Amino acid sequence: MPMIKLQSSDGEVFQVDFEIAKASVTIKTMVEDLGLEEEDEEIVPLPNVNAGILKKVIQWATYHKDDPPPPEDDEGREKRTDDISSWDADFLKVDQGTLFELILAANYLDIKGLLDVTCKTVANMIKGKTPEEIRKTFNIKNDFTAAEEDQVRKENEWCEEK
Amino acid sequence: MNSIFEQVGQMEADIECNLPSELIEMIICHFDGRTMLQFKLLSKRYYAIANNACHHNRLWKKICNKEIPKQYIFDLFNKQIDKFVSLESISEIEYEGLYKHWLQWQNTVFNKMLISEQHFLGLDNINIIVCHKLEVKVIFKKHMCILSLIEHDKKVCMENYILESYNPNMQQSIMPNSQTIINQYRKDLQKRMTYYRNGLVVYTDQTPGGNPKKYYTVQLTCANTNTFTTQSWYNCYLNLKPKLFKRGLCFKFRSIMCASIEHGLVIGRTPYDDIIIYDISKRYCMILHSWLDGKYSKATAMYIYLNILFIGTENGYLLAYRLKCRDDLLNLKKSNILLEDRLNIGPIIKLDIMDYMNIKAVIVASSSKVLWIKID
Repeated sequence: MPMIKLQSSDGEVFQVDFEIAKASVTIKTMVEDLGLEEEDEEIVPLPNVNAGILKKVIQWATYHKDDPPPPEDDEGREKRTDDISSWDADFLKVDQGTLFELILAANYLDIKGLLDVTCKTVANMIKGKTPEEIRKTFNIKNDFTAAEEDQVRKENEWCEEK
Repeated sequence: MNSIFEQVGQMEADIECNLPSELIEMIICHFDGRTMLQFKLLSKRYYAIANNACHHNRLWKKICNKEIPKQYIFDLFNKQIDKFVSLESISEIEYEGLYKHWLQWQNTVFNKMLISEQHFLGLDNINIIVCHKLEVKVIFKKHMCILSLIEHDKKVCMENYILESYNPNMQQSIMPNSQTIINQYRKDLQKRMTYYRNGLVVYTDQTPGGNPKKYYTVQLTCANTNTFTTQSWYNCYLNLKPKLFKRGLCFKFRSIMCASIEHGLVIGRTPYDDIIIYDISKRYCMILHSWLDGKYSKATAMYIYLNILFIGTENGYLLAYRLKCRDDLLNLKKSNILLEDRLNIGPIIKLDIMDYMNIKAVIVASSSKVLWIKID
C-alpha cells in the first residue's frame, strides 16, 4: 500500500497510508500537484500543524478511513449537534486549547468531517451556558458599554426565562 | 511541568486570539436559537460575527424551521408578515423576530394589562374581529371599523402607541362610541367579499400581479355551518390546492367557534350544544359533553395561537390553556392554565390575537364591546 511522509511544524515525520492521508483535501491536492510517486522519498511539509495535533488528526482519519465521503452540498441537510458518534466524543475529550488547534488543523488540512465534528463539539460546550459563563470559559472580554449591553439585552429580553 | 502545560492550555483556550472569524462562524452554524441569542451578548465582535453568520447562512430560517413546528410558524407569519409575500423573501431579521416571539409565547405565566376598551353601543352586533399586525378590524353586518395602534415617536413600546382613531392629545377624554367607521359595507367591502350570509364573511383577495387562477388566496375569518374554506395566503406558495369542505362530517356542526387549517382543526358546537372537535387531516370528529369547568359556564369563543388555546366564555371568563399535545385539547387540565380572568363584558363572542413587534395582546369582543388586553 502506498505510504506518504508528513512532516509537522516541529519537524517530526509521520509515515501514513496515502488512502488515509487523502481525507485531507489539502494533502491530496499537494500530492497531485507535486506529482509524488509511490515509494517517493519526498516529504510533505505541514508548517501549520504541530506533531501532537498531527498525531491526533492521523488517529481520527485512520478511524474514519472507511466513512462514505461527506455530501458536497450542506444545504437542506439539517444541522444536528447531537449526532456525534461515541468514538468521536471520546476522541474529542481534550482540553480546549487542543480542541481549537484541531479546528484550525482540520480547516488548514481541509478535512470536512473533522471540522464538522470539532465545531459541533464547541457549539455543544457553549449551549446552555449564560453569556458570563461563556465569556469565562473562552476568555472573552465584554467590550459592550453598559448602554450597548442594555440595548442588546433588550433585543433579547424575550429569551430570558422569567 | 504539568502546571505550565495547563497555563499554556489556558492561554490557547482563548478563541478570541486563536480562531479566525470564519471558523467561529462555522461553530455558530451549529447553534440552536437560544444559544445564538446568548452568544450575541458576549462582545461586540461576537455580536457582529453572529449576525454575519446568520445572514450568510440563513441560520434563523433554519433554526425556526427546525425548532418551531410548522403549523406554529404559519401562525406567526399570519400575524407578522405582510400578506402576499413569498416565503423566499422573508428576511433573516424577520425570522429572528419570529423566533423571539415564539420564545416569548412559551413563557409560563402571562401578565395582563388592559390597553383599551371600545364601545359599540347602538350599532349592530359585532360579527367578526380580524387582527393583523397592529390592526384590528371589527366587522359588523353592514360596516367595518378598523382600530389600529400606530407607532409614535419612532419608538417601539406600548406607551408610545396610540389608537389611530383618536387625536393623541385627546387620550384623556376618550368618549364611548367615538369609534371611526372606515368602510361602509356596500362601498368598499363589496369588491373583496364573495361570501356574506347570516353574519358570516369569507374574504377572497387576488394576489396583485399574480395569475388570479393560480395564485389566489382566501383568508378564513368565519365559517358557515356546513361549509368552510380554510385557506391562508401562504398556501398558494406551497402549491396546495384549496380545499373546500362541504357537508361531510360537518353536518354535526351547529356553529363554529374556531377553524384553522394550520392546526388542522375546526371546533364548534353540535345542535345539542356539545363541543365538537373536527380534525381536518384525519377527518374525524370528537364530541365532548363536558369540556370546561362548570364555573366558567360554557365556551362561546375560541382562538388557537401557537400551542395556546384561548377561550372566551358565556359569563365573561377569558382563559388560556397551553396545549402540549392533542390530548390537552380534549381534556383541559388546570395545570395547563396560563391565563384566567373574568371580564365584565358579558358573553365573549370573538377572540383574536395581536402579536407584532413588542405588542402581544388578546382582543376580546362581546356583542358591543372590544377589549384589548396586553399580555407579556
